[in-house]
Amino acid sequence: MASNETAQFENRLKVLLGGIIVAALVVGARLAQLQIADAAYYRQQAEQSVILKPTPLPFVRGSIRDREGEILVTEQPCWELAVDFGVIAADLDTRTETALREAKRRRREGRYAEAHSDAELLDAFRADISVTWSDLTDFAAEFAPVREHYLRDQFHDVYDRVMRMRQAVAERRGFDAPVADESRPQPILRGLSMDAQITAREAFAGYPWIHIRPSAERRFSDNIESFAHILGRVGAVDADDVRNDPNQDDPFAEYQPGDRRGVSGVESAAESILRGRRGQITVARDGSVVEEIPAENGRDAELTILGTLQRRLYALLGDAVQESTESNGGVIVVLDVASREVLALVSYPSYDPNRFDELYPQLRDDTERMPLRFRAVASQYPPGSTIKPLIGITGLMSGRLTIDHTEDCTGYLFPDRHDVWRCWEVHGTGVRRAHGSINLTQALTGSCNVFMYHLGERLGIDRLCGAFDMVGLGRGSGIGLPEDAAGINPTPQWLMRHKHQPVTPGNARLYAIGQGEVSASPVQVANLMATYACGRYRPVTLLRSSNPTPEWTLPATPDQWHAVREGIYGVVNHPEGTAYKFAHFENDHWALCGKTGSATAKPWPTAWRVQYTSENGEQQEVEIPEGSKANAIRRFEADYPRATFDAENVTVACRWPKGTPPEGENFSHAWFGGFLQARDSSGRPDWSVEPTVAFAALVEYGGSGGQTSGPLAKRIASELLEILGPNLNAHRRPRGVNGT
Amino acid sequence: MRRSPLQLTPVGWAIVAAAGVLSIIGIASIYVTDTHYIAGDDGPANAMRQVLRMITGLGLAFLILRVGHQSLARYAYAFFAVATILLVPLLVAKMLHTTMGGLVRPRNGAYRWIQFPGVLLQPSELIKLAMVIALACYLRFRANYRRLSGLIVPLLAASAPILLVLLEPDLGTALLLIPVVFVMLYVAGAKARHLIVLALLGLGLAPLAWPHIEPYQRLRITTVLLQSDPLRHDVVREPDRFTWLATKRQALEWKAGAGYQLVHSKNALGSGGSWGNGWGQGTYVENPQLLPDRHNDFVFAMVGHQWGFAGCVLVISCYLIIVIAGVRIASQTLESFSRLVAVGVVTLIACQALINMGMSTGLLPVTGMTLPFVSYGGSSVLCNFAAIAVLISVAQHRPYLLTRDPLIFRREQTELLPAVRSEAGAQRAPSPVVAR
Repeated sequence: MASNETAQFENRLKVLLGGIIVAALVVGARLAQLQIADAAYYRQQAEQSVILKPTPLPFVRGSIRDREGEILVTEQPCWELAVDFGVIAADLDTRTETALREAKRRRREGRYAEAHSDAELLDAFRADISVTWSDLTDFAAEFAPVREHYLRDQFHDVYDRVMRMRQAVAERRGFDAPVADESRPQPILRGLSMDAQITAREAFAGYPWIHIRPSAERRFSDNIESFAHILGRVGAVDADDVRNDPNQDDPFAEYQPGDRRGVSGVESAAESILRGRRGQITVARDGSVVEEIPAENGRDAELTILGTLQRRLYALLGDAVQESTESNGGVIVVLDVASREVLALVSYPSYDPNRFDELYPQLRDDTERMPLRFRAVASQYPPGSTIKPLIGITGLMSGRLTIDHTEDCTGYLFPDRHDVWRCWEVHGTGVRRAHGSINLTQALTGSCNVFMYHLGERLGIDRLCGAFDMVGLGRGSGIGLPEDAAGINPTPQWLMRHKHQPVTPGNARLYAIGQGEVSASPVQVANLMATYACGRYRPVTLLRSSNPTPEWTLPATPDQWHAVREGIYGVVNHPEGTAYKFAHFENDHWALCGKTGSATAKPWPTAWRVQYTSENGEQQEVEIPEGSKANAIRRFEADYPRATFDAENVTVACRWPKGTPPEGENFSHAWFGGFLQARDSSGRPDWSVEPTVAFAALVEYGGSGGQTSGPLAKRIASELLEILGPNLNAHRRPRGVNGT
Repeated sequence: MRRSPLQLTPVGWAIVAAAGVLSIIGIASIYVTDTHYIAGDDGPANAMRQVLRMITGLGLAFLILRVGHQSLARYAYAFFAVATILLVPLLVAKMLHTTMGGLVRPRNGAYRWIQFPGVLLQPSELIKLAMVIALACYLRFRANYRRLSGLIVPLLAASAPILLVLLEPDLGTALLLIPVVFVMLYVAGAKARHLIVLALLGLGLAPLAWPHIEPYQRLRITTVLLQSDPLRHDVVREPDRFTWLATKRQALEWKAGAGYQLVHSKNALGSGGSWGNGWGQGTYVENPQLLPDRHNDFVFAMVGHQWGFAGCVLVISCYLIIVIAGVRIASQTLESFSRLVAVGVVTLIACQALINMGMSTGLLPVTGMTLPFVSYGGSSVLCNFAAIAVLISVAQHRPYLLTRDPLIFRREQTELLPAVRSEAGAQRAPSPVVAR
């Protein structure tokens, strides 16, 4: 037995020895392959490795131009003041690890020789930094027009951004490690001029952690207020951008920490055009260029907007809004009917985007005027009577209404109920003037509600919602901007989900006059007008390079359209028309056709009251000037991080308009939408010629559509004629031929 | 029979000579990395520190020779328990993301080091030797490991520290301990087919662990495959087919990212050619930033860079000398604890060397594994010196009189028994050779 075991032991030792020798031979063979067979290749590789790290070459972000090629915003070289991230971390007292690494780096440079322990070192370092603060604030006060606490906020923002970035990069890489940004200076003050940067270099010569370096910023051209919302802004990429980057697999095109990207407006919508591709240069130690991949600059984005028209209409709108007592804002949208290109997209009030950083708190807190709101695209309003032609043509198309069908308007839907379902001309005091027995054309001209109540009931909610869907309500305008509001198409499902209500016949009546839950952005209303003008629907376009949008022809006969358009013509040109007195437009060749709308709306909240329990248990309340409850809560949480509160106890503190409307009336938005129709030799509209431009104008809380927006529409029409020329086709000329 | 620590047997001298040559090569390489170092990393006095550690290691080795490996057997389990318990704070620190008041030193996301006053200890180095001794101690009087059920206890006992090490995470040490355990069971006499079944079972279950290991560990394994240019191009072309292996981005950035160390380790080795660039010469000597960890985990690349294929063959030969001498010692020893310890130490050193050289040449995934006697690193130097001291101690204590076939001299053997007992320090039962 023993000898058996010994023999087995010996055998197994031999197997072990054999195994190890075989493994050693495998390693030896691999070494022979690397060091003898392929030695020349690896020698060459080793030589090539002694190359300095590739340096990225920056690209220049593209400009945004208007339809005529005029530059609206472009990249401008400037300087920026950057602070080492370790110093920011040390100053905020948040990340000791990073701060200590920074302090140790300084010690290697010969500072803080007297500090022995880590704690002493950190203290010495912090003491050193604190001196910087006063100099930084002094400098900022003199050279960079920034608000109070701006620098402090910047420190926090930079720190939060880098930490979020670290998290996102860790997810992508699969493990957590410091990101490049943590060892890089972070920009704190941007856009320094030549003078400022010279002063800064002198002032901060003693602080090795402050760097003045070249950079670029977005520079808007002069007189650009009317474009502020459209163009939008660029900002630093954040963690979400890195996560959702479409170019993740291209190291030259991907977002990297410190990059900028468009965050709103066209800057964001045209990001793929404007953004270029980084280059890279690799230089050997002897200075020879080993490899150079040139950077590809971003291309220019061209808007369909006519700059001159945009600016003139902005001035016009500003006057109209200021004339109105209750109004603080308004919108004008002009579209090319055939292509649905946006020729003007004016939101009032606006601001000077070149001074955005400085004005921001003021703009944010101005809740009465809300200058940051991109009304033309991002706000939705009840379309009011501007929807009536759509209801009319839907009725005709469905066969539930004939051109000659008449309804009798006594001023009330129910003769015995005078408080509800009234016609628009009936005010608290009683019947001023009933429409009498009228057909569709007359109902549109006189904007008769009672006719539409009957029609809405006859069509039913499904047909109405089908019509709304057809013109894009609930689906957006297709303009491509991130701000684009979808509009509301209040289908029964929508009603149940959002209002928890079943459909009643009343819903159909309300929707038929463009009230109730149905909502549209001003661009969508302008698009409605273009649809009335040519009988086809298609989404709108803002960028010239985009492909034509798909078009859909409404299945109505020319006679049916004739009846609707005659009604629209009558609004301005027939004595019974709602805008006859205010917008009658005298021109031998062009007739202004349009539809007024006085869309009843509640005052909107401008400030919210938050009741909260403070840190030490006291019940307190505070007013947050914000337009929406969600924003108010977000801001409250940022400002009072330790307070507890219940979202139910966040109530409206103030509204705009402030007063109450006159007895028996409501506040209402004043709409006017229309198009310019060619006249024939007899002065009648020539319906065989398709209009070229359509537009919509809105004065928020402007009151009666005819009275407030009618005169504005008349002025818009003359501007269009003046700028586009007598044939109104000027904007369609291809570029290059233009102006020569 | 026992010799003084200064009177070694010829096999002992062979081991000392081989370890000495490896240590000199190591110090020479570390000295070179000191001459070109990156400011801010470990300072320029690494070679000096390594020499001091080796002197400490020699002292430890003398101590072990003096007390003899048999005495270690008495404390084998205590040793094993202490080394295992030392792994626990590391795991706790990792789970809670704390340094436990500066006790644990995380580095690159791995929790492997404990900071004692003045000493930075890596418990996963300790556990290697402790496990070899404890396992030898457990297996010496038993025969039940010839049944499958008998393998359960040693495998369970071994799996505790292996799991702890695996979670640190230190995949390399965990993967090193597994073959050591298997080899010891194998030479102890476990049935080969049991071991093969267990090994196959383990290999079969390994893919189940794939989604649960750290992403960087997964990447290190796939990196070996991504060496192949065609495969990398396939991944870039059809990322959907290779999601289990790597993303398109990882393939695109392989050279600069996950594969960086491997690329440069191979460049350094290959550019050494047959005879090398010479001591202190060569691209990778002059450019410290090209190959991180070139003084510890990737020291083999520096050896190949400076002394070429010849230098690498010398290093491999030194390990083979230790292995052959160790196997010889084991085969000449009849006392089973000593045998098993000798085999364990041999496997330990051979596996470490093979894994380290394998990862430097791109045969195995990159793991934090030192090259015994050559790499910079305190715990590693002490552990390896102690290991060969144990091996030499076995040679020193060899009962020469029992080398003849015991069956022939049955009578004389029984007479010798008490002497053998006291020599071996085996109190409970006679050695298996003598017993029958």
